[in-house]
Amino acid sequence: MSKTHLYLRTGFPRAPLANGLGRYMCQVKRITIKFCKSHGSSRGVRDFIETDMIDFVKQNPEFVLYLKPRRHHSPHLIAEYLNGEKFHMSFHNFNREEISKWVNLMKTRAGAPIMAYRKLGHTDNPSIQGVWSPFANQDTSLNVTSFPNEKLSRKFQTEPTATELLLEMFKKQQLEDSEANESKEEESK
Amino acid sequence: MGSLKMIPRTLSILSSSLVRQSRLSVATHNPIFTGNHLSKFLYSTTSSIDKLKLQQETVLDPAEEKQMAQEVIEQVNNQIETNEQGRLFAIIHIQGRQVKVTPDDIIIVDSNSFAPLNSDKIKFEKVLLVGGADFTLVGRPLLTPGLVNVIGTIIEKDLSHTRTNFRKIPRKRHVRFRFFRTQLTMIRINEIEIKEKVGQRKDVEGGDRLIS
Repeated sequence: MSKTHLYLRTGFPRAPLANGLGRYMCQVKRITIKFCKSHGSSRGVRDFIETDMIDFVKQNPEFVLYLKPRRHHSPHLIAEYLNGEKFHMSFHNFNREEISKWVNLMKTRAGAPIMAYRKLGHTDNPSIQGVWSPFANQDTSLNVTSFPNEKLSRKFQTEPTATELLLEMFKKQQLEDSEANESKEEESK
Repeated sequence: MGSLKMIPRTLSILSSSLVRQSRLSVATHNPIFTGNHLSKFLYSTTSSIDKLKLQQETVLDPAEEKQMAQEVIEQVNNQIETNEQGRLFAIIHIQGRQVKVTPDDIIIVDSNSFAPLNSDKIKFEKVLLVGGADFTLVGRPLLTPGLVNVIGTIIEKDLSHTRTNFRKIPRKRHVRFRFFRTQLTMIRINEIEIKEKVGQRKDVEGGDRLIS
């Protein structure tokens, strides 16, 4: 048996039907709420219908809200989206505020299955100034250089090494000695 | 000592450390060669004589530099005026995050306190950088308000998948699970537009925002 439903689905963010490119379109097509007229578990749904439902429907003419009384059944919601996805949710013992919150969430969703996003963005144009490579902004003389190149293979170093400093000190000492010798010779003459 | 005296020390750089890599020419705009270690060797007589070489220092005239900058700014302005800049990209600051966006992109804001609702249009005020194929405008840290128009539409508000916070203290019989879902807001970037001329200093900046 397949276990795919057991693992967390992952994916990348996409917007269905190029939503938002021209204008925004509400992605929910139909919301159906089933409830019982007498059972206590549907109390919140009945409260929602009595107080909030009319305003909610008037504010959202983009989709249709169906109410289905089902005797002695636990209340639940089915949201159907433009991409063909269906979303079920139980409203068992939910209160009015909870129900209006969840119904609002169903409205603002786009209907993609719940998944962990691997990235928080999507682009069709990943680079405008060109993809960087190690050769970007390099000296154009490199184009005609033959490799391996002894000059370019050397270590990039701006400060003298300890050996070189020692050598310089030694040479300076030699120079000073020779100068001293010369002056002595001149004096002796 | 005769050979040393012939070299005009005040005008040129005598440095064994620079002679070593002859492919590098010394210029004032290169920060590597204007550091302390250069001045240390600038008037040094300790350099080994066989390594001594003249290194020419090119100093850019500030007026010339300014003119060059002006020309570049003019070219950018011309490109924008004739609408030849092509696709632009921008780095916007949103909910503590810096995102690179270009028109038609989707970005997701993971925040429970992000108020805009579906179909709302937002103008992103904090633009750190705008670039085209041929130029880049970098803010310090932000670009002048009103220079760039980055506009997006909210297209989806959803909850994330259920995340788990698990805490356990070994040998103390303390185990806690916390499940939570955060609010994800999906935004479509609609347009990035440079509204004003580049490189123009206004007398008062950001006044329009103070009023509105």
